[in-house]
Amino acid sequence: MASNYPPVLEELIVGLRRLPGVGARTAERLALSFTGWPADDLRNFGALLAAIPERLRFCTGCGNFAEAETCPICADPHRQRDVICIVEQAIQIPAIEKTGCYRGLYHVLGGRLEPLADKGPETLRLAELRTRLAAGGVREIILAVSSDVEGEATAAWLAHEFRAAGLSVSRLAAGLPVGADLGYADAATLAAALNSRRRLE
Amino acid sequence: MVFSDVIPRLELRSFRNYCRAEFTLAPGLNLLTGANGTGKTNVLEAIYYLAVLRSFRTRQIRDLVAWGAESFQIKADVRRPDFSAATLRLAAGFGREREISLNSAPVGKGSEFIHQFLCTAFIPEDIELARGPSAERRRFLDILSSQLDGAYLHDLHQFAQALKSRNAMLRQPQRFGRRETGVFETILVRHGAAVMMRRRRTIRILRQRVLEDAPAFHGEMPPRLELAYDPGVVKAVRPGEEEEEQTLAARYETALMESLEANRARDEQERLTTWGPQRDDLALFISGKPLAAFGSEGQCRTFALLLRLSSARLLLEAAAGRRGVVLLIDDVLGELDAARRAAFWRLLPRQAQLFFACTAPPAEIPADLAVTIHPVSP
Ligand SMILES: [Zn+2]
Repeated sequence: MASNYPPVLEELIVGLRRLPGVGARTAERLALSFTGWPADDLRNFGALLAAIPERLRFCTGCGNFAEAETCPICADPHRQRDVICIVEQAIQIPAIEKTGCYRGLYHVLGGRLEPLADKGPETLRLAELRTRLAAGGVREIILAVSSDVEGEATAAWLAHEFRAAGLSVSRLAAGLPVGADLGYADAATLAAALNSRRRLE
Repeated sequence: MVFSDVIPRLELRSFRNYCRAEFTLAPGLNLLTGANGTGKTNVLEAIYYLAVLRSFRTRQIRDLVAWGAESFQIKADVRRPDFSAATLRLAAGFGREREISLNSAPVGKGSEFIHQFLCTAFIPEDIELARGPSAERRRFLDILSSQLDGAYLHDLHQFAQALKSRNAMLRQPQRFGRRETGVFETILVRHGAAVMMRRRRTIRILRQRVLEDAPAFHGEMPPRLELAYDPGVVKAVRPGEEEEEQTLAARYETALMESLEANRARDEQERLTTWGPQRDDLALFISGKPLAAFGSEGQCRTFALLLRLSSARLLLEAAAGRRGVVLLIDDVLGELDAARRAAFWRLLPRQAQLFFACTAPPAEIPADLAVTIHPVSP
């Protein structure tokens, strides 16, 4: 398909196709767009990619992306230290940060209980979490896991342990997107919204 | 109100024996005529696939793709009873992601695409509903329940996912203990009980309809037909008709949880969840005896046809002017005598758009049906 290009572009196209959501046509278009870049820009871009293995680390506290021992969130003295929000993956942290509503800390689980994908409890960053909790000072846990079967099971599984430890445990509500028209919501979303309904005060 | 103009246009690409074909379809009865092997059934199959996202003949995508092609496409204009129009498009092929779109906007979840119009197919294999394994009747119940109740597929999917997860955990006891299986069991029980409730409700209204429709098929001396929900749960709950749905749901949850508990040792040994809604059945009886064991071939065929016909009539009620209903009929009248064929035509709902595949137009079509003939050639 792409055999009309010189090897350097061919290899680039093959590399770009490894990116999520990029098919053959898109990879071709992206690769060709690079040919219009000034040489210095290309070198800087390449250097950035090459530096990822050295520069990118994981926070020893929460497991978030970091460039130092701890991530900026754990290092921030103004964050509330008695609340931990548990997420499945580090990429979910920026989404919650963008809301500006949350001032506590995070913990990246690194997955969830997913027997069908061969993911058991031993694949989760639980030892790190237990160490953090044992150090004391945490009062509340917020479970921000997905609302499918595996997310729900993982939440229940974690909640059991934390409640036994005397922590307050809550879970993000599932339901309708803000501004959603009820008439267009699918049945599953509506059912989830109904199940996590709140009393009006 | 008569509304039988559900699909005005259908377009097939690389589907079965069709390289490229377009059909302009009429309200009322559309007769697809042609010699055997010309692909009449394939047109019905395409319409069914668009409505239900599966074939009534095969589970293999590659069977549906025309020889030499990589994927097939089905596209149809669908008219709603309020005269708003929608264009449905589906493309699929072996080893590639299925694409579905509604009015050119891609749809991510099958559950948001399925049942844009409600569809029932009458096919010769329907006799398996009467005498085949319980899986045939569960599939029938699941499709009908999801057509009657938009939330059903969600419960069914959650239940199936929790069940598969539990089975996967039973296969690896060294990694997954009671605490891990326990959290999946809670989900399995909650959605499993919802599935049971809906299946029971579906059977209850279907039973009423079948008992009303049956005399038309059996004339003077009708055999006594009966349908009942037969839950695949140990210590099955046999509710009274008046039982409150709320208390029944709770009882189903308890029965399901107790069944998991009672069979735990055996499940752990067999590494499989032995009992639960995955073993549900729609029990069919004729003159007080199980149909599959005691019914003749003709009685099985008639009962199966009744189940289809009565469920089609249920769908029309359920659609209640919101969605169109399409009935696909393929070669199911040949085995019936003249009286039963006449009963079939009489009961066929006029408010549905009808598609009938045949080698030649049948003589007994009632005069009140508007007929359009489409000679089919590949
Ligand atoms: Zn951190």
